[in-house]
Amino acid sequence: MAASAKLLALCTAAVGAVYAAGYVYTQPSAEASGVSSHGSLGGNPSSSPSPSSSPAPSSSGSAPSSSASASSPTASKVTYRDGTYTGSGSNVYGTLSVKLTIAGGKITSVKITSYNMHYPSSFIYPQIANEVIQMQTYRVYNITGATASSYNFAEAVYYALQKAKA
Amino acid sequence: MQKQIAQERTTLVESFLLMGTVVSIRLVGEGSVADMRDSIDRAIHAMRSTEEACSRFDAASSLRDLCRRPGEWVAVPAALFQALSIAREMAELTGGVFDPTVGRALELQGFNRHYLTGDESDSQVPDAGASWHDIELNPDGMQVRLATPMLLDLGAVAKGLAVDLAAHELGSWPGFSIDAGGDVFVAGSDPEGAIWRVGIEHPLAPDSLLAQLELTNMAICTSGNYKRRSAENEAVHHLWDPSQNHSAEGLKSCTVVAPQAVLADVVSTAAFVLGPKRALSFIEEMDLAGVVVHEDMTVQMTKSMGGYIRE
Repeated sequence: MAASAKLLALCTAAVGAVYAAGYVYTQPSAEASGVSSHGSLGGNPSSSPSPSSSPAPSSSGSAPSSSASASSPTASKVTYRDGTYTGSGSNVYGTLSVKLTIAGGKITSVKITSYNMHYPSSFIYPQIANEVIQMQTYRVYNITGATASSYNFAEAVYYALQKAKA
Repeated sequence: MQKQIAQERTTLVESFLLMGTVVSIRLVGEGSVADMRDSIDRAIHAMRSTEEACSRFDAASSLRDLCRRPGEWVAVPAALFQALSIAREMAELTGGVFDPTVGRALELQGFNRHYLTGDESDSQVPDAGASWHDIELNPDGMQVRLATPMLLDLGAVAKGLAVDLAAHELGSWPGFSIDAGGDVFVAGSDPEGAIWRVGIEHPLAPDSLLAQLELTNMAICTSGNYKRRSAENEAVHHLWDPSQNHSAEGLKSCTVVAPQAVLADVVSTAAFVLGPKRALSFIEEMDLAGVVVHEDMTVQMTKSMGGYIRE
C-alpha cells in the first residue's frame, strides 16, 4: 500500500531510532543524587511498612481531588525526598496499595503491590448484566479495550506522595 | 510435552501506574527470577522515559517545553521526535481528521489532570488555529519547530511507542505480554507454552468479551469512547475530531492488530475519529486487521481479522 508505506516505515524504525539516539537504562538508585541509604531493594525511610496506614477508608477519591484544587497549575514546586513510600486506598468494593519510588526528586515508578477490588457488572451496566454472553476465558490473560483510567489508585498515590513531601 | 516445558518456566506479573493507566507486564522466563525482575524494571523505565518526554499533563515534560517555545527550532528527545513524526504522518494520511495539535481543546474540556499528582494543567496556549501543518520536523539533530502556538497531544502515539520500547527490553525472554490499559503486546509463548489469547472487551459490558484472538508477536490496540469522559461535560470523550471541534461520533470502538503497538494505536485512534463510514476501509487501506463496533453495536471486521479470531 503506497499510502501507508511511510507510516509503516516510521513505526518500524521508531524503537531503533530511540536507541540509536542513545537511550540507555540507568539504575534508579544511581540517579538518586548521593542518597545511598534508599536502595531499590527496600529502604523505606519514613513510611510505616504496613500498607494499612491509610486513614479514612471509606472516602475514596475525596482527598485527592480536594488537594488538586488547592495546587498551583504551574510546574511542580513541590519537592519530594528520594526513597520508596507506600499508600493504600479502599472503598466498599475492595482495597489496593501502591509503592512509589522517588529518585533524583522525581517519581520514577509507581508499582501496584496489591489490588483486590471488584465492581459487579450490574453496578456499572445494570441493564445488560443478564444479557451478557458468557464466553470461555481460560488462558485469556489480556484484554484490549478503551483505555482504563487509573482513578481507583488516586487515593493510594495521594497518601504515598504525602509521605514523600519534603 | 508442552506441559513439561511449562513446568520449568516461571511467570512473573507486575503492575505499575504509567501514562494515566495501569500497565501490567507478564513475563514468562526460565532461570533467574532476579534477571526477570531486572528486565521488567528496564521495560518500565523505558516507558517512564517516554512519558517524561511526551506527556501533555506534566509541565516539566519535553513536549510542554517545546510548546512553550513556538517559532524556535528545539532539539527534542528521540522518543518525542519519533512520536511527532508518526503523528504528523497520520495527520497527513487522514487529511487532518486525526491531528496531534488538539491538546488545548482537550485541556479546555477538562482532560487536564495529572494522574499521579492530581495537578491540573493549564498550558495557557492561545487559540491560534494551529494544525498539523504547523509542525516542522528536521531529522538532523532531531529538531522541531512549531510555527504557531499550540498544545500537542500525543496520547494516540506515545503509549504505543512506550509499549514497543518496553517490548524491546523484554525481547530475549521466551514470552511476555504488556497490557497498557487496553493496548496489548504479546510475544513468544504464554505461561503454558501456547500461543497467547487476547480478549476484545465488549463496549457495553466491560466484564465480558466481544471476541477472543489467538496471536503472538503482535500488538492489539482499541480506541473507544466508553470509559473516559470529560469531567466538565459527560457527552465529551477524549477522542477529538478537530474538523468538527467536538469528540468523534458514531462508533463505540475500533480495534487494530499490527506488528508494532505504535502502529496499532495510531491507526485505531485515527479510524475511530474518521467515523463509522470510513473506519473499516481505512484499516484495510493500512493493510492491517481490525474490528469496528458501531454505536448500534453492529460489528464489522476486516477479512484478515478472521485469521486471529478464536471460534
